Amino acid sequence: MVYLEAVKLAKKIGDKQVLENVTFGVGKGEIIGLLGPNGAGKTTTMRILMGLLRPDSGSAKVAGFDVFEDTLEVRRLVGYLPENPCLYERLTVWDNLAFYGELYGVQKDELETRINRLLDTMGLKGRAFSPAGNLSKGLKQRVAIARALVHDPPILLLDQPTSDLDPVSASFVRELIKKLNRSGKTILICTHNLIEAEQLCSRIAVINEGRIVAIGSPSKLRKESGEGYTFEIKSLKPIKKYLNVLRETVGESYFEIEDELSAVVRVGRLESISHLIRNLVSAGCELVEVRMLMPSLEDVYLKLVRES
Amino acid sequence: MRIGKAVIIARKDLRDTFSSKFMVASLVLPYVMMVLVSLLLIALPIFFGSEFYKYIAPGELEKIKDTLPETRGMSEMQLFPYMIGTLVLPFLFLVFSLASSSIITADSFAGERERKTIEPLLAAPITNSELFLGKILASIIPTLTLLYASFGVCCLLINLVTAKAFDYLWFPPLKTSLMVCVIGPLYIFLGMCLVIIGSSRARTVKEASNYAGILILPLLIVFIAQLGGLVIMETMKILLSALIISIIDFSIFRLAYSTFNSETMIVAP
Repeated sequence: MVYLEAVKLAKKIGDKQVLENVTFGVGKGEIIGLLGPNGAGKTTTMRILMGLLRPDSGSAKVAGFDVFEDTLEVRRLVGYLPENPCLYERLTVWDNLAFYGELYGVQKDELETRINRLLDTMGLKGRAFSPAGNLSKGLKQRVAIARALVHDPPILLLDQPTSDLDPVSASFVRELIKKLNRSGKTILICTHNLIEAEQLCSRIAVINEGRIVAIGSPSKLRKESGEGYTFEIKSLKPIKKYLNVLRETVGESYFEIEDELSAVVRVGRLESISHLIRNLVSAGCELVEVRMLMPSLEDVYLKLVRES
Repeated sequence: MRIGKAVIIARKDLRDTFSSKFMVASLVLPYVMMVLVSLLLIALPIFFGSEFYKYIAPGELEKIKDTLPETRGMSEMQLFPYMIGTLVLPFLFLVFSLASSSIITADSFAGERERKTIEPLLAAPITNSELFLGKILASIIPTLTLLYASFGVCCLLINLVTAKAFDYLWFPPLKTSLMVCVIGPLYIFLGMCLVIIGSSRARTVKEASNYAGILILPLLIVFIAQLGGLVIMETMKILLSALIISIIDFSIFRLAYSTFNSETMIVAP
């Protein structure tokens, strides 16, 4: 079931075409990453999904509600974390959370319990009555996440939840996101952090210059972006002795000598590598290792961005 | 429109504003200064007695009596305080209130943008009108409270200080009351609307608050014209001015509301 849907979104801001034909869907309980470089259109997409910006064309739906016809209903269902923590720094942590809780219509008794629970989860119990401005960046981000959760929404839109955080805080936030997803929340994350996207997301939509250039699970993206397979072969004898075999089997430009005893070979089909192994062994090469090299998500991402 | 949502926003804004010592000082100090300056001006002839009138050019007192015909039967000791109370004090109140309201309005509107707190607020399940009303309430409540409270204090102190010269409670005269209590809120509201329009364009609170500065000029013109005897602010003229300002208020308010939308506030530079 598609729970969050963007269909052919296009948006121009000033002279710049920020989004062009952006289409993707997020299933209920899924966690999907919108991955792209700065200025790719990630934040604009999020803002359109929140009803903060109106697209020039296209439509957006959240839990079956049209974002621009049932805006308030959509906003009640979504917890939104903007790029900056956006806290009222002169107010205390508690006041920040209570204000949004009231605004989202959480009943007073329930609100108190919920804030206490959130402070506990976020490790902010001792800071409840500190002005938000006195907190570190990591703690501010935790308060901002608590704010997005104060009305217990089934959907979360998180815009760069770990950007500029120290490794400890970033890891805390990632673990929290995983936990929230396990509890059934549907999550859309904007990020340019590949490790984060790979760790957290079941699917990734790569966006560049306002267009979705690829969408799928990290492994699917790897498979789709790869041109055949890459193997590393290691021999006990100098690999240069078998250059002729390599040339005849895979072709001159499809292998590369790495060092005296190893080479990297690219083949279009898996059958080709078994053929190469047979030929090398027949030629007297004592192979000690044949290893398939997976392209990293970074390779895939860079390739997709460059190609687009 | 759900008034309750607007009240929640106004309450938050008020708490936010008054948690800053700088903001409190910027709001309250002008009023304290204004009360002190008014008192000082009014008390001058009381302290100096008839010596004071030696410093006023001959013929000036007659000119005042022409401008304010109700002063014809007044003694020398009553004349100057009455003139200050009627011609100067209302303008002081208008100028200081305008300055104070523009600070608080700019903090409420442009401040959210400057401090980057506007986005989650716009993403909350509230309508534009609820947010707008909340912000207007947060700006107008402290401004009017300060205006009326300082005017009340001023009335009390002026009557106390001038008790010797007047044997009745003379302050405020009707014209002063109308200027402060009727024209004052209308003019302040106009300034607030201009600051709201400015907030959609300005990057900072300071920049946005300057938009109300344009309203000082008409006040100065009327003030100077009045002292020069070119304009006499009679009761009917004050009421007519109130009507005209109300009409301008309505038009500018509509314009301000139209500039108040999430797209402008998020995307504008």
